[in-house]
Amino acid sequence: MNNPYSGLPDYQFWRRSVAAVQTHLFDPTVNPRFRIDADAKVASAGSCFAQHISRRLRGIGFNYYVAETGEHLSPDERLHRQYGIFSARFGNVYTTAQLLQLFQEAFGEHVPAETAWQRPDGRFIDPYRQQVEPDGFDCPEAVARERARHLEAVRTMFLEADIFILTMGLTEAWRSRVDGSVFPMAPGVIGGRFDPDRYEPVNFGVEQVHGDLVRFLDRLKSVNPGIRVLLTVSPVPLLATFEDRSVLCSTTYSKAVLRVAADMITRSYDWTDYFPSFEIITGSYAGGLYYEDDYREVNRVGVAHAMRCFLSNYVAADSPKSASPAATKPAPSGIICDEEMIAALRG
Amino acid sequence: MERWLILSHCQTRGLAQSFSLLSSSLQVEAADVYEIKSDAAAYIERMSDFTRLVVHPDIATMLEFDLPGAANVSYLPPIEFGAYHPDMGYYRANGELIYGPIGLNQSSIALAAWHEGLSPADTRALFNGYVYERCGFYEDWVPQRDLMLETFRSHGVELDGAFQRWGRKRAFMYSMRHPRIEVLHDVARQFLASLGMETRSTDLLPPDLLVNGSCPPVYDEIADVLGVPGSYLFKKRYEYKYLDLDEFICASFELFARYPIGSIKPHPNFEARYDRTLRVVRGEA
Repeated sequence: MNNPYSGLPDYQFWRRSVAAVQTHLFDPTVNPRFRIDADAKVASAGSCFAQHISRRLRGIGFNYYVAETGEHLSPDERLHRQYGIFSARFGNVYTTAQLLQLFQEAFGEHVPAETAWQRPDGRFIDPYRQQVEPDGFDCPEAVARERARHLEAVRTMFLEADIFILTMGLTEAWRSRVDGSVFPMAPGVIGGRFDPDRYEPVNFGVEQVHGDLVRFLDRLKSVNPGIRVLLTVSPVPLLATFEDRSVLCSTTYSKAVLRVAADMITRSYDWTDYFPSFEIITGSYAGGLYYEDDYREVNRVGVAHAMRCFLSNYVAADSPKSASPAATKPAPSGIICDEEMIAALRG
Repeated sequence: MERWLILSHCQTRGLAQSFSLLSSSLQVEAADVYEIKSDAAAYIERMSDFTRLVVHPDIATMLEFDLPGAANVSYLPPIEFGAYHPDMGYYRANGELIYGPIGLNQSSIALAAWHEGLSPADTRALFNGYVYERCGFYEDWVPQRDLMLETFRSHGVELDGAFQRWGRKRAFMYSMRHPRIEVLHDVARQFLASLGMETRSTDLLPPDLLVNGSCPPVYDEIADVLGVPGSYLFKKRYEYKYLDLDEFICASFELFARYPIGSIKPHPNFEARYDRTLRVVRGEA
């Protein structure tokens, strides 16, 4: 008997595409909208998980685009000061509001009211990328000078990149009551001072996240017409929530909002796509295998799985996905373990 | 109470003990091929005592006596699966298999590098994902899975469901012919099911004897692709001691140096893999 599901491809059925597939062979990526050429400039930003993506992209010889290289520094110094971790030295970009704000500031459309926070050790930090300078700055002016250089690199990155990969992390942020600027971490954690009259917690909803993404993408396309954007949602749970509820429930909320917003975007913008790294790591098929013992950090095996799917679907060639019938036979018939060995294995 | 004799090789004990745990209606005895051969007369005399013989198909042809009629003989293939250890192969010199630092398993990369005159340090540099991909090391899973499952299916044993579980947390093989005990336990359970026999639900497993053998590592890059933890630690056979990659290469070179260049040949099952590896090491592939 015919029904609407008759003839649908296997990937639309759980039993065929999930339950019947060995864990490491599962790939939920379907009909990628574009392929990434070997010479394409690939830039990325986002939360902690985005660091895995950028590291792996570099490791496999991708043209990972770094607009702020720190060439004047030694390799160790570059690493210490977070050059090259992302395409520019913006640190983790957790929320879409933070991303939009960064873009607007780089293109002169936003001037934040606050420019530097002081740490307990007397040094100063950039409130919008609080950990990129571990040794801190001498003075607020030094923070501002370095930020101006950084914003120039950010601007170059958005103008020059061919592919921009955005890994959305969460929906909770701390926001200035003065000008609405958002901060990646609450004032008072690393530097600055918490003042409830100046700062407020915010937990963005679908409309806000979607709205920020729309504004960001529209502006990005206007300055870089050839850009294509790959959206992902970080599978890393929240470290903490300011909501009066379990951090797990807040994690579910955040990830759900981000996932919905990503879906809304890809339905409206045909030059964007969604890569399901969130599903690859968190899916029930994986049974939690892809997390470290803290159930939060993604382990090497999980990152490898996500990147394998990424390469198989978004890179034109040199994918390790192909299987050859010429593979070796497992073991020679007619050879058994030697007697000495078997004796040792009799127990 | 049925009396069974399990006649196999290194997987014999694990299978027999699994049968015992899984069914209360069985009295199970195990014998590997060397035990049978060393006391053939006694076993021949006792054959009629057993209500069923469960026999490794290859071993059946190696015995110097005929097994009883087919009515109570079941053939159960061994677990053989090399996708975790695609660098490993069996090699011969002067017609005999050679034994290296971890026994029968030799590294095709190490041997190819030695044949090409590479130093241990240059050989060490070949152990990377780029080389593995060109050697075809990532290509074995699907064909070997299909071959193994079909082999068991042709003997009436359905392992598809069990196979889904085996590799979920770690490699289910210690080496290409030494499975972990949970695999043998599943084989035993499915074999009993194929005979229509009920099995106990229990989470107890027999001792995992095969870990006493050599355990080549699942190289990190291969482990990434197969979704399991990896390493470069080679466990020696009969010893609870590892060689790291540098030690393994040096010990392998010492073995190879005992033979004239070109005299070490891959077993026919590993010829294609070795030839491809050699071309990669030569920069031809």
